[in-house]
Amino acid sequence: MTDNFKNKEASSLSIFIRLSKLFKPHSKLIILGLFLSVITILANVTLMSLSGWFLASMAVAGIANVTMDYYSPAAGIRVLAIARAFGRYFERLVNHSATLHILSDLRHWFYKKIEPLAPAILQKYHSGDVFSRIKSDIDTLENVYVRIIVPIITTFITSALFVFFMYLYDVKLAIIEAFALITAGFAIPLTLLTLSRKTGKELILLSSQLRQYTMDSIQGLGELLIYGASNKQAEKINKLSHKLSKAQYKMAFYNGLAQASLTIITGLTIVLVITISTPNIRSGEMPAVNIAMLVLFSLASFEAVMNMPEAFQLLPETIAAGRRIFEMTDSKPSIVEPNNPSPTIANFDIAFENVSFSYTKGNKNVLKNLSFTLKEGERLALVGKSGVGKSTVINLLTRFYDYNKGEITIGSNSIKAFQSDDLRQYISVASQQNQLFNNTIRENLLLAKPDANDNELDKVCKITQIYDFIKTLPDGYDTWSGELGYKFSGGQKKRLTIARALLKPSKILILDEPGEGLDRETEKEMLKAIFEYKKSTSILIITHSGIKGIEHLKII
Amino acid sequence: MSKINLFIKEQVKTSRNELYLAIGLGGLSGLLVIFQAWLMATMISDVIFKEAQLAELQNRLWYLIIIFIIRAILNWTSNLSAFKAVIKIKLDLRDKIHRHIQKIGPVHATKKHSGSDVNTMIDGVEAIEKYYTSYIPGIAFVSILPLAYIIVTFPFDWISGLVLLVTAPIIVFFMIMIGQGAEKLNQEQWRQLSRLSSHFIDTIQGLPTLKIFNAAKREAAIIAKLADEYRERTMSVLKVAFLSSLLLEFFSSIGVAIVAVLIGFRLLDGNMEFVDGLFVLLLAPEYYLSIRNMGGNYHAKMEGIGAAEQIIEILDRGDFTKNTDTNLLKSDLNLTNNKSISIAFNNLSFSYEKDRQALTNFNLKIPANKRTVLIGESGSGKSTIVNLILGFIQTNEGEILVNNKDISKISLETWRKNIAWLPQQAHLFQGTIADNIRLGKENATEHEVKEAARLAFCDEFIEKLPETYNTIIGERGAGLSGGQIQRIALARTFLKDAPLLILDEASANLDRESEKLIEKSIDMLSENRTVIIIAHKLHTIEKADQIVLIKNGTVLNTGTHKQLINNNEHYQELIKKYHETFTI
Repeated sequence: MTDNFKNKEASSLSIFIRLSKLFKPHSKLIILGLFLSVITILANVTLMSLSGWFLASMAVAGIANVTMDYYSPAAGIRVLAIARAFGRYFERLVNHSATLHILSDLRHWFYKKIEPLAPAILQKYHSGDVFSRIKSDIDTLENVYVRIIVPIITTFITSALFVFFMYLYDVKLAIIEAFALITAGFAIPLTLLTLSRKTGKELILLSSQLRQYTMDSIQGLGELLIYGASNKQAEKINKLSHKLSKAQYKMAFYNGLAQASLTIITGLTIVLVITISTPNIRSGEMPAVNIAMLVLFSLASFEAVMNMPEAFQLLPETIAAGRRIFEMTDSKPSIVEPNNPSPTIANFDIAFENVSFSYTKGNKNVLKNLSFTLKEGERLALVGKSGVGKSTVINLLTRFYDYNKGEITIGSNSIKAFQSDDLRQYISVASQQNQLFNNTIRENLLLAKPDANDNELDKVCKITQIYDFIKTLPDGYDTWSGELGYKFSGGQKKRLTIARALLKPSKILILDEPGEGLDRETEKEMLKAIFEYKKSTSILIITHSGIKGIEHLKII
Repeated sequence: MSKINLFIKEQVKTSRNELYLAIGLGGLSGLLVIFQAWLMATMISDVIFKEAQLAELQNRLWYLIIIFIIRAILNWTSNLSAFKAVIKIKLDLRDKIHRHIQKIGPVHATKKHSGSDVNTMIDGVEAIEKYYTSYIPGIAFVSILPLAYIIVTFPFDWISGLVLLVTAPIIVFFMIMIGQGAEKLNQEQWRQLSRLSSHFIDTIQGLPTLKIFNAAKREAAIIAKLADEYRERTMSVLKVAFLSSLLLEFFSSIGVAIVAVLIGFRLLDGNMEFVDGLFVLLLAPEYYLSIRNMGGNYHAKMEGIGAAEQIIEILDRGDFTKNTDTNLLKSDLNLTNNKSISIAFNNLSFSYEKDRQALTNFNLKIPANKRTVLIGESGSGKSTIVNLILGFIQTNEGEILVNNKDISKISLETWRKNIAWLPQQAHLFQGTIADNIRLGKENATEHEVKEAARLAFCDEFIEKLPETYNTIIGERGAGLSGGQIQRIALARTFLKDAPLLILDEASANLDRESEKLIEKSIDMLSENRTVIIIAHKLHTIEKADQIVLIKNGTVLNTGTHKQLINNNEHYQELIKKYHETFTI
């Protein structure tokens, strides 16, 4: 049990260290940011204590009717006030800049790591929300610096300085200051975290449940009404909503408790500072004016630990996010690139010879002893029920995965002998996912051939019968697709992605379910035009229904 | 704007007392700061100038700690009270939105993307919280506390009072600047950032496609470039945006500094008591803090208003000019003797929006216990007919008769008890497969559930699942194919065993196997029932007792397949499209 615990702690720390290493290129900026954060806090605390000392000294001098050098402290007060304001300004600028640098680096780093691993790595995480999780994990990690590293380091530095400052006057004062800062900065937030951990988890669970049930309510509204279940559903949601509020109230209760403890600790510290200083002053060990300074100092010094509760709160989720991200980037690639350059090809005959494959080791084979050939320039339809691994054929041919048994060849060369980039140069695919990027139609098409001109775009769009539609859009090819742009229907997406695949000057064309979302008339005409346009290209069509105008048929 | 404010105020009604209590307790804590400062000032003054021993301070030290404890408790309870108020508000709002959506039905409710409605119900309602917990008490505090501090300061030291008074408008001015200018900039930056993030995720999601087109490595550079551009833009904006907070910080710091220096000189000249000066110095930062707390509240206000806007938008949906008054006394549909249903549309017109007529002078008889199939191009009005029968929409022009009784005179609840419905894309709910089938009949026995599954041909694959009927269904039926989901939903209709069955055939490609099984299942289901089908499959059309050919919101023709195929051109054309199916 304890061993287990230790292991986990060690790996948390190692994750934190790995994260910090990613920030190394910006160490100068980071150090400057930390320095400015420390300066800002020091300026404020010094301003308050100096003001207290100044007032007391001026009053003493006034009563004793002696002169006093008031220029330097008065100037000091003004300088500190200005230093605080500007310190805060530059600290915010530098730390924002550092955060944005980190944001840029982190994304670039993650993309470069994940690129060779995709799509196998992404498929491993079956759930559909792997992408939103990546997004929120990366977002979390981007805030590590400004929300966790800065507060923790500045707290350590300023707290140490404050305790040392108190030590200059009395050891007991130093102990009290240390005790106060540790309680306020560490003990209270940690206790809060432990107390509220269960409630915190409950909160996350309840709000995701509420979200799912609400989704049900809206998406299944018609069914709920017709089947007379709408009242029951409303009650369910009310119950969950009530539970959620209760958990939130509990959380507010704990947070309030922590806040209250902080206030009481502050009061206690001031009382103790007065209690210890007064006898020292009476015995003549300490000048009387110091008490004004010390009380104001201890009051202001709590600023050092202000951001610690947030840092503590974020720490566990940050470590968890880091662990998930590193776990992904540390995965082994699903294929191994050959050491030698790719062979040159005499012809583009494709052959599958007794190919077997399963996505995860030990699981049932998705493909079992599949054999077929597609001679250069010929057409083949792979037909079969859904779930028999037709799309897997594409994944293997494009080397997203390596087959476990048998051999796939192009022009009699094993495809494993090719650099995957070279291999993919020969192949164009319109996959079933119909992926369009959040970009213009033009950019989406040009992906296949960056230097294509408008005539070429027109041609492929006419073949897939999407040309007329594009022309009706006010922005034509410059219409944006995706979240922020035009919501294309499934059939329109299908036609655009097929047009894109046609644009790529490849020797082999693969179409996965080209008729999906299209009416039969359109599908037929489109395929006819494609066969016409790509006369000398090998075409592999994957479908669960039949296709006219194709020479070969393989049922799997 | 005033509508939103009215809405926000209206929600408070039920929890006004809790909110007043929160303001009272928090305000009291703020006022205690004055005593706290006074106690500290007198003690320090006595130690320095009156040679006070620790014993002489004992009582005041106790008072001080007690004040801190009281303030801690006051703040805590004030927070909790505000929170209690807001819990009531949130629960009410969520229920109100939910019931409203149910009341207006799926056609009116789902004008927007359903995801955004879910967000409004969850996050929007949460976002309104801060308006009540931060903004309203905050407004109260800022109108009491700075004034109280300044009133207390004047008798002790009118010069400092003047400094505080004069600097306040400057602080408020910069706060408004920050509030308005910077807030907008900030939001713009956030928008850009979320765009950047969605590009990033979009790219990762599209990696397979990018790799196919050898564009994956190119994208790495683009990701870095976009992020760097974003950084540069953001920094140049922030340089200016932070300036107003620099000035805000500057004036409040310099305010305290001026107070301190001016008091210092008067102390040196002997024109002032030290205890008075120190007291004022201790109050000055509290004064500025209490004003500046408003800054954060501005954000809470904007967020709350934004959320309220979304909520009002939902509550305003639905057309209540039409006859949907549920208070109207409505009779029950009497089907005791003959459990069959016939429907007639008489001169009915309907439009979703002005100038967009969906049905015009629509006349149709749907005979009892027969299979009626609706066909036509998309947008011809098929779905509108079904939506009218299901009671999702209503019209005042023309009438729908159910067994010769006006449908608007029948209570919706009773009417819907007689309908089983399979939409084009059925929805599976959170819970087990059995729960989902049981939607058709709440108290169905295990045996009945299994029997329904058998009739819908989904028993086979369900029993292969490790948890069989108790398998928990993932989000949107994750792990199940489209065909399997439809079959589970079909089992519901068997279980409900209603006299009227409405089917919207899936036009998307289901797997062949599912398609055949569903077809068979529907044939069984159709016996002795009135069936209305929006058809997409030729097979379904050919089997119909009555085919209704619809175009532009009117009936073009009715008849059987045999009758229509020979003498209706439009029908022939339509059928040609269905006919030319590719064969292996």
